Amino acid sequence: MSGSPNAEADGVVVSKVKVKKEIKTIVENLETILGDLKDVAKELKEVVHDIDTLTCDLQLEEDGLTDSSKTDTLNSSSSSTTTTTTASSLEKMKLFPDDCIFKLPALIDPVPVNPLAVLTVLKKPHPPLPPPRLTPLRAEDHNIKNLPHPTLMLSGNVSKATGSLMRNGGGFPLKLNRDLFSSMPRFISNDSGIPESGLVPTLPRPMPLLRHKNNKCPKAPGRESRERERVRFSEKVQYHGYCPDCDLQYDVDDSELHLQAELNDMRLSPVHYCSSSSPPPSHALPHELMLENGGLSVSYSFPPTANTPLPCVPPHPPSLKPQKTILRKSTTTTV
Amino acid sequence: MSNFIPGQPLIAVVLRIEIKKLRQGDNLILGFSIGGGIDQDPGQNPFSDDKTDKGIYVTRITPGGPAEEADLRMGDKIMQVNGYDMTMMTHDQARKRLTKKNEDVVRLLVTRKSLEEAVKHSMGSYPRQ
Repeated sequence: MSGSPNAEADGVVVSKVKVKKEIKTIVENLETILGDLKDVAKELKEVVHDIDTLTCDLQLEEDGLTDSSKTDTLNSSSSSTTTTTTASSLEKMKLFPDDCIFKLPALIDPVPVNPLAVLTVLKKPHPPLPPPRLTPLRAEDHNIKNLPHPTLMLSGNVSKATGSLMRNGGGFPLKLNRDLFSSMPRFISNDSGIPESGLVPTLPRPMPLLRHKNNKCPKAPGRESRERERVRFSEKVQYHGYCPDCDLQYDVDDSELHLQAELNDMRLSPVHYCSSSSPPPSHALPHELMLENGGLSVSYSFPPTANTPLPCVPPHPPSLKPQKTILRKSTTTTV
Repeated sequence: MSNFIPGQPLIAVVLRIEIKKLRQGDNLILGFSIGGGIDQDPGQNPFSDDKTDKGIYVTRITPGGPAEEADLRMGDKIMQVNGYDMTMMTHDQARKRLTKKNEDVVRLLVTRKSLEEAVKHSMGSYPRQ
């Protein structure tokens, strides 16, 4: 009897020691994680840079972009957006951001061998723009293997919900908010020396940012400012209704369904990009300007200004189509 | 012309104009010119009240042509052609709508500023129903 209080005291002390050990382990793990996060941040920067270089050669041709000045304006504004986003996301990564919350299991509870880690991620108020999916997913998977950086251990069944780059590591099921998943840069880690302590908060790899490292774009990275423009339709594709080549195939008698099809075709076909080197003479011969129904078309802006040479009218045979300007001019057609 | 609120029905006072195409040799002409379109720059339209209006406007009338006979006027905004809406069309689509070879006649619904003014004045102080 007299021994029991002592035994109890011993028991309490022992558990305290145990807890302290746990805490120490946890702290060490956290430090490791922090270090890894920093690595990841660096990696992210590299990857973003790679993305820009990789995709710069996928840009559409700039020939004939008459509103290139407008485009450039967009570039500069979007590039600043890009930088901001990247910077902010990097910062957020470093600081265990507010909107990325780890819920660690209670420290006090005795920790089993394979504890559950719960990761709850909240949506960023301004999620970064989705990256263009120019490369197939296989490539992305391949890319994971290429990346040498030691990163954090991923836990659990974070699957390919987003078709992403995550690896399933040990047996830590993560409870994630799936639909918010893609909005956050995540960190995935492979192995890398993190012990089996179940309290490791695991972060998936930044999903959107991994791309081929192999295909470096030979062109200068002067195009990175256009990064955000990649996902948009090219402005000049819209106006291809005015390319006489497109009009050549159009039959006036067709129903309006054909109109849509044609517009779609024009959008999709890169052939029609204004690549004509010689601008047609503005004093084009009248027969070139004839419409299908014989009306004469005149291309000038609403208040008639000097005729500007059209950027994309390749020399073509007896077309009945009028010469039309492309891209935000105003055209007048006589019917 | 009328205030355009995207997503809201457009209300405008329109005039029905029927233009019989004139045959000139192989060609059927209407005798007017159009400008505008959703792919055009609306700021250059001298006829529109709302400089963001991308509708199709009549920019010129050929003297003595069918359009002039039908009392189409410069500055009219074309709302419909033969029942097809023209308020959201590219310039080229509009042109094609007007120049169908198998149609001899185009029935337009056009709106013009003076019409709206006239109606407003005649309505006086009555609230719009």
